[in-house]
Formats: sequence, structure tokens, C-alpha cells
Amino acid sequence: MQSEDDSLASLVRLAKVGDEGALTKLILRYHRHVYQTAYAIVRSRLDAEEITQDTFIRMYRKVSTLEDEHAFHAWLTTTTTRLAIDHARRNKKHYNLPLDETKDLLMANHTDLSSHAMLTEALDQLTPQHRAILLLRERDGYEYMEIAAILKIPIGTVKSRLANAKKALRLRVERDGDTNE
Amino acid sequence: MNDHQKEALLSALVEEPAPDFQARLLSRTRSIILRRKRLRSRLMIAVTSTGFFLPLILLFLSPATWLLTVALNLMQAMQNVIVYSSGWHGQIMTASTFLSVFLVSVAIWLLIISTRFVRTGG
Repeated sequence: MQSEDDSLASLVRLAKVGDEGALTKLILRYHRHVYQTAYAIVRSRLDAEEITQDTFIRMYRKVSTLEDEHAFHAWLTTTTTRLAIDHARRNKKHYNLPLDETKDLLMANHTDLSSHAMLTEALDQLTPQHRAILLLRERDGYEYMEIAAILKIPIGTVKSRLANAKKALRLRVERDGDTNE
Repeated sequence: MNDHQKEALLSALVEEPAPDFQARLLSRTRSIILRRKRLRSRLMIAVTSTGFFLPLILLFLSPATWLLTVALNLMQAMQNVIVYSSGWHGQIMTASTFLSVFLVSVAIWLLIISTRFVRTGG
């Protein structure tokens, strides 16, 4: 783990002085993480691809300002999250996954079709900020304070939004479950 | 939230990128970076050449420079008139002095006219 951190830090150090090989390696290493972060927030494949692109262009331009190379992962997550939320705010459209695509995804994952579809639909109903908080907390395990810093909102707002998001998901899944029965 | 619920939530929240996305991303990012680099170098050339040539251009175009030239010409001419005021040599010098003053006046007049022409857009 330590050597992995060190190799990442040396890659970032090279990228900071404009080494294109290092930039390419960073893109290869992080494109999946960046795409998934963007997708979780905007819920659109095309928009997530666009945000991923923007994130790596920003990385190219701004990586030289990063002081601590070991903080690269958090820095990239913060950049992606902010870009995705700004993108969603600018476009203000409803992000829905086409039904066929959802089914393909479910079949590929061998997940329970009904609960997965219900969860997906319930997540689509949340705001991009709620989804960002859910992702940062449940996938990346960030503390409330860190999420507040990433999203530039008070800690209290993070806590209440997370609770609201979970409650909305639970209600939605329960309601859909009752309807199906 | 237990592990099973968390797993279900994350599988609904995130999605794998398309198989060809990595290649597309790399190629587009490289071309954008290359374009930016080219643009930056062009901008640098433009800034450097403007920084070098603009003062020269301004120096040649500014009315102050012209007035200075006129003043120097006149001073030179007066000196010539004083030194060679006698004989045929003196007459030639006087004539050339008036000719140079006339030419400089015409140049100033042309400059003023062209400046006004440019300001009014024709």
C-alpha cells in the first residue's frame, strides 16, 4: 500500500512538471473512478463522459498547484464532484437511464431485478447534491467534515441531506414494494 | 445501512464506463492538450513580438516623435543659415532649409489628416 502511494506520488510529481507519460498513466488509472463519480451524480452516460473529459483537462492545467502529492485521489474526487454538480446545475435536466440499458446492467450484474430497478429509479429522483453526498459517504467513506469541504456546504447540511436521501430511498423502495405486491 | 444494502445502493448508484471510453478519452484529451499547447506557444510569440515591435511602431507614429524631428530639423536649419548666410552657398542652404521645413510641415499635415481619417473610419 505504501509503495503504491509512493508510486502514485511520483507519478503526480512528474505530471506536475508536464510529463505527458505520467498524465496518460494517471488517466488510465483513474478514468473509471472519475467516470463513476460523475455518473452517480448526473445519471447520464454522455454527461458523465463529458465531465470525465473536463476533469482530466483540469487535472492537466491545475495539477501543478497541488501541494501534497499524496492527496491526489481526494483532489481528483473533489474536482470531479464539483464539476458534476456544476454541470447538473447548469443543465437542470432530469437524468434518467434508458430502461433497456438498466436491464442490460442488471442482467450483467446478476442482481435482483426488481430491487435494483427500484433503487435506480429512487436514486434518479434525488438531487445531484444528495447523490454526491451518498456516494462520498458510502463508497469513499469520507467524514462529514470532508464532504462539507468538498461540496462547500455546512456540516449540518451534509448530515441532514444524507439522512433525507436515505429516508427518501427507503420510502420509495418500500412504497414500490407495496405496489408490486 | 448494512453491507448488503450498501452493496445494492452502490451497484445502483455507479455504472461501468463503455468499453471504448478509455481509448476515446485518451485520444480526445491528448488532442485537446496539444491544441492548448499550440495556442499557448502562438500566444507567447504574439505577446513577445508585440512587446518588441509595438514600442517601435508607437515611436514612429507618435506626434511627439514627429514634433521632435521637426524641432531638430529647424534647429539644424537655423544653424546652417547662421553659418552659411553669405554667398551662393548660403543661398542654397537657406533654400534647402525652407524646403525641409516645408516637407516636414506637409508630413505633419498628412499625419494629422490620416489620423482623423482612421478615427472617423473613413
